[in-house]
Amino acid sequence: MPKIAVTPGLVAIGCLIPVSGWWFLQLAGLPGAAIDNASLQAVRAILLLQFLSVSLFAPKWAADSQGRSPQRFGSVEACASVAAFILPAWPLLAMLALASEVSTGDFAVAETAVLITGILVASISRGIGHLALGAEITRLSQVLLGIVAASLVWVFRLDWFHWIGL
Amino acid sequence: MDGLILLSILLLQAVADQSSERILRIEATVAFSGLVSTSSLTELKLRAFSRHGGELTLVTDGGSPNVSLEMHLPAGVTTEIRVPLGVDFSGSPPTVHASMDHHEPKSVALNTVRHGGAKSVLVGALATQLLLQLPQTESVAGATLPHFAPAYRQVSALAIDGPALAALDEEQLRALLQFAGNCGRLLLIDVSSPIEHVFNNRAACDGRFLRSVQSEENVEAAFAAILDQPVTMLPTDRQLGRLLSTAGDIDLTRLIQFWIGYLLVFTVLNLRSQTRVAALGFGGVGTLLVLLIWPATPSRGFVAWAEAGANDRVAHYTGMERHVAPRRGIQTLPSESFGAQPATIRGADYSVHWNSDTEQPTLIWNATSFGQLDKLTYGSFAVDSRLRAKATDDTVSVCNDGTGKSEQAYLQWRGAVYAIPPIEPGTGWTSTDQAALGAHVLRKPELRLFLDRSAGYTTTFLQALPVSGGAANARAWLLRYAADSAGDAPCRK
Repeated sequence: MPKIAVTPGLVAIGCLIPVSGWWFLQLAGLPGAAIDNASLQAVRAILLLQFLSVSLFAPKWAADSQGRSPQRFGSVEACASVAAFILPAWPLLAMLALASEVSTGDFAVAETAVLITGILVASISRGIGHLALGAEITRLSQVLLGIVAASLVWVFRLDWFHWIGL
Repeated sequence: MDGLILLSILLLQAVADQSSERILRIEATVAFSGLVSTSSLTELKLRAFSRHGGELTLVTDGGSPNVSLEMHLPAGVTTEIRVPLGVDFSGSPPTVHASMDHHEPKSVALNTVRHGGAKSVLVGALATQLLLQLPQTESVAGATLPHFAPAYRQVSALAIDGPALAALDEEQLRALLQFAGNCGRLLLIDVSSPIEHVFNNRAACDGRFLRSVQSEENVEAAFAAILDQPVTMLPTDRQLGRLLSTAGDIDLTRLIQFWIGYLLVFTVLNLRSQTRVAALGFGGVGTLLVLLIWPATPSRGFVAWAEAGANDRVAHYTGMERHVAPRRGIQTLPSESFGAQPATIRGADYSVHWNSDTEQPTLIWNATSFGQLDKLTYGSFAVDSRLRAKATDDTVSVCNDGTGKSEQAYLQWRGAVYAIPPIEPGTGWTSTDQAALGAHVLRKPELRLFLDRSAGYTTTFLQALPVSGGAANARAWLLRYAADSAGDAPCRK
């Protein structure tokens, strides 16, 4: 069987399938007045998954891009990986926005926040990679960075949503 | 010879004029003798007469909305027709065109007088005599008082004397009572006690905007007192829109088909390294497709927000019904209530088509992509007070003084919100029974509005009201102010 490259896009699709499945089940069962609440919950779930995933995976994407272009700090490849993770969700987010009456501005702010989070974590991870710490310590530090970033996202998730307006 | 031809022409012209006169005679008057201040609806009254009868077609022009009406006009009978009229100040003066049996239409220009919005109208000889010297007052004929309650938004206050009130027909009286129910500023002069009692029972806002005086008393001071009362504004249509949900009619099958197709294509593109970049662009294309195919079906939502003081027997409300078009172009909506109680409509170019043969006014509007049309209504209804709050320094209790079990409600007390479960009559609930609602629950739009509207009040209640008929996504709430009563008897619980 040919080896399948696990790309950010595929990871994103993997995250979206359970959320979209849950939302469609909700649509099938709920009366009209509750659909916007279910849609809002699905929006929050996707955003949370995006925040957690970019936090955890951005160091790996940064390390991969560093292997390809070691001299460039915060390279375009790392940013593209983050964007490749976010973009697949946009059609589903558009459907959820229309079903929940969340404003386009709130979505733009949320996705920008995810992008910035991913780029920030990737940049810091690449910075760690430039330090002469040794391969094992570098990798461990980058993994820890991802875990710390994801933990911060989880702990402050309600504040994030409140700040974004969701 | 030339004189004979000229005489023949003149005679033929006179005969034609007489024929035209025989075909249709029409008089048009606008409510409040044509006084208009806002782009809200006023009322146009038409009196049509045709000796021979036939199919009457009326079309208004220069208004917003424009109304087209078709009806059978009986022969030899003066028929009164009332239609809503919205005056478009930016365009040409409104005109009504009337024709019988599709003959050449007659046009009647409507006399409207624009004012700045603070005009008080005086109805009746006594009211005019006593108050006309006050600034911003205008005397209007009682016959021009509207039958549609929303038309009262054209004036800021109204004073009417007993004889003029007695001359109103039933629908005009009902509209005037609705005006009092909507917290309209109303002064009654020399009216009988039974009539005064009827108005007192229908006035909302705790009766602050209603006065009844005898002509021997200081009528000017009474009028000034109601004009000085601060206006209680209900939520704006923007605030109502945030409570609205129009997401009910979703074509689930089409959505699932789209989503599965998108996932498959995106996955295939991603598996092939040569097309990975294309996969990124496909995310954007997918988003665009969603925006183009949504909403797949027309959707409709309704929301109403009512408010009343603790001692009010009447709550006044504002409501919004929103229609979202499935696609661009002409949409047709049945508008059952439009003829009986027209409402302000915003958001789209529209006209009302009313064919009396079908007995069903229809709203015809021209939708843009994702176009929506909002129908705003105002009114009042009777309420009874069941829930009473009693507060100490650090706890609050809620008693059910009614005869039946209360509905689920929310209590706002000193800025904290509690969910009150249904309470049996004669029993109560206390804040030590459960904690205040958390910040994430308070993000619900209706609770956010509840807190905003409760500013300045120690205790307020919010109850969901049942809404029957109409849109599936229909919600309504009642907010009661100043509901605390520290001196009353405690709950039995």
